[in-house]
Amino acid sequence: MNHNLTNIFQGMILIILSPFFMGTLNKIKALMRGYKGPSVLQVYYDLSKLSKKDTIRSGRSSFVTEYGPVMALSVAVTCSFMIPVIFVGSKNSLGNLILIVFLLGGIKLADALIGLDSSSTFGGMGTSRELFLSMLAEPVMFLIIMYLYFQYGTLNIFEITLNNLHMSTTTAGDILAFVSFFIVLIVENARLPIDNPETHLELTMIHEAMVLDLSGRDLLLIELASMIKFAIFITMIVNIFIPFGISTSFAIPLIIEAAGLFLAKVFAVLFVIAMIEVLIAKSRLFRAPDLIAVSFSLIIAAISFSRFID
Amino acid sequence: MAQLFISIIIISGILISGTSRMKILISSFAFQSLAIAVLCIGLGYTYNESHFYILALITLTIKVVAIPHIINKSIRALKVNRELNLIVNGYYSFILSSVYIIIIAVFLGRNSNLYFQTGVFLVLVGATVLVGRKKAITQMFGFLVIENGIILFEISSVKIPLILEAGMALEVLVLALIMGVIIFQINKTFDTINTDILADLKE
Repeated sequence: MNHNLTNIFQGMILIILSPFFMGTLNKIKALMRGYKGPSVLQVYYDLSKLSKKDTIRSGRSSFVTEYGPVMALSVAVTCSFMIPVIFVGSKNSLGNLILIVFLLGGIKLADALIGLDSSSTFGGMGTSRELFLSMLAEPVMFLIIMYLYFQYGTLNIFEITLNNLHMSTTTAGDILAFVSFFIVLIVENARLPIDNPETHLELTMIHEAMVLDLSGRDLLLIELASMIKFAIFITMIVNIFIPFGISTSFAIPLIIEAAGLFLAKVFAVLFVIAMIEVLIAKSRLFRAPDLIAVSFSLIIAAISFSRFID
Repeated sequence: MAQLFISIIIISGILISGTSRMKILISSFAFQSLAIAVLCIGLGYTYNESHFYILALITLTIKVVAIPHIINKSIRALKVNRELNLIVNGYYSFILSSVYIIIIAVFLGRNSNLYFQTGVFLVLVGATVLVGRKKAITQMFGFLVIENGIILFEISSVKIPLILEAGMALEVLVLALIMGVIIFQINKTFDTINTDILADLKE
């Protein structure tokens, strides 16, 4: 039996939950700083407010600004259908990791083109920074995929999850690869040591600078796409490295247990991200390669340990 | 469980090799020593030897508590919290540490155990820190990390007598104490702890 329909269903759950994850992250950060903070549903309210607003485009912008947000969101949605969330079947045709990484690169392409399109100063600057960082982060991502291939013998993310589920021991390589993937998550989603998502100061922003010219529905689509991308990365790190409890059959209690465990694991990852964001200040842009070099070094260590050292 | 502590040791080793922040340097060194102490306790429990427990005790008291405390104190007195102008900068140090791991994996991969390889890695990282830094207080970390590597050698297979091991650990403690005093004096005399300036002495 082919599980593509199930994958689409659980991908839709992920898409619906992705603003909730962002709201939860903001709430945890607010609680850690000692104030009450907006409700976890605030991100949904913001998105619905954006959907009611008029869309104004710069007179200089071309068809790229018109279709770019649609492309970003459609790529993100396609990508979310390709990863396991709470259920993993035995036979899967979707879910090649290299394809997922390329599709996630599509969001970046759309963002970069939109940033350049309206020929504003900040757009170009933000695009340059974003591509500078992703140029460094992408090789590390492919090294992580290489490690996963060496370790589990497949490139399909569903089969990696299944194989990891049946593996009883955790090796040093797994832990090193987990930390490495976590750093890539932070860099790719422009979280704190790289980019502060809370400010709109022109000297520091990366992601915000690219979408500065958008408004209304366009901004809604781009924001939703980047939230889905964040949710996809968290789901990937959870289901690749700590997949225990994920359901392998359609029994209702198993599915409920898997959903509960999935939410708990996601909250744990969000808690760690929030703790880093509260504790650490943003570092200079040219210090970012150092962080990625740590990630590179860790994944090289993981590959060496899994391949050459028993 | 040993795998977890080995990975903590490697992560902290990589961080030590390239970071320029004193806080990260001290805390990752303390974590590394803690992981080594826990490894020693685990091995002592497995092989039922008192030797490992004594090693763990020495590591815990000297490297997890005493040395970070002394260094923290001298840093507060000197007001250095980061090091700029490294000889080998952070980026290249991180890449270099991954090269070390590849070299270890290729040459020592099949015929030695995990503790030995991690020990070699720590010795190489310590040497990098020793060579690549300019400030005396960070150069001292090179010695400390090398000593951690030697402890890992010992618990792998190379049996060093306990008296020697204890001597080394005490030597490191004395090193930290003396460096704390000397660095303070250097700072007082030259207004810097950059070791390059010391060469200006010769006339």
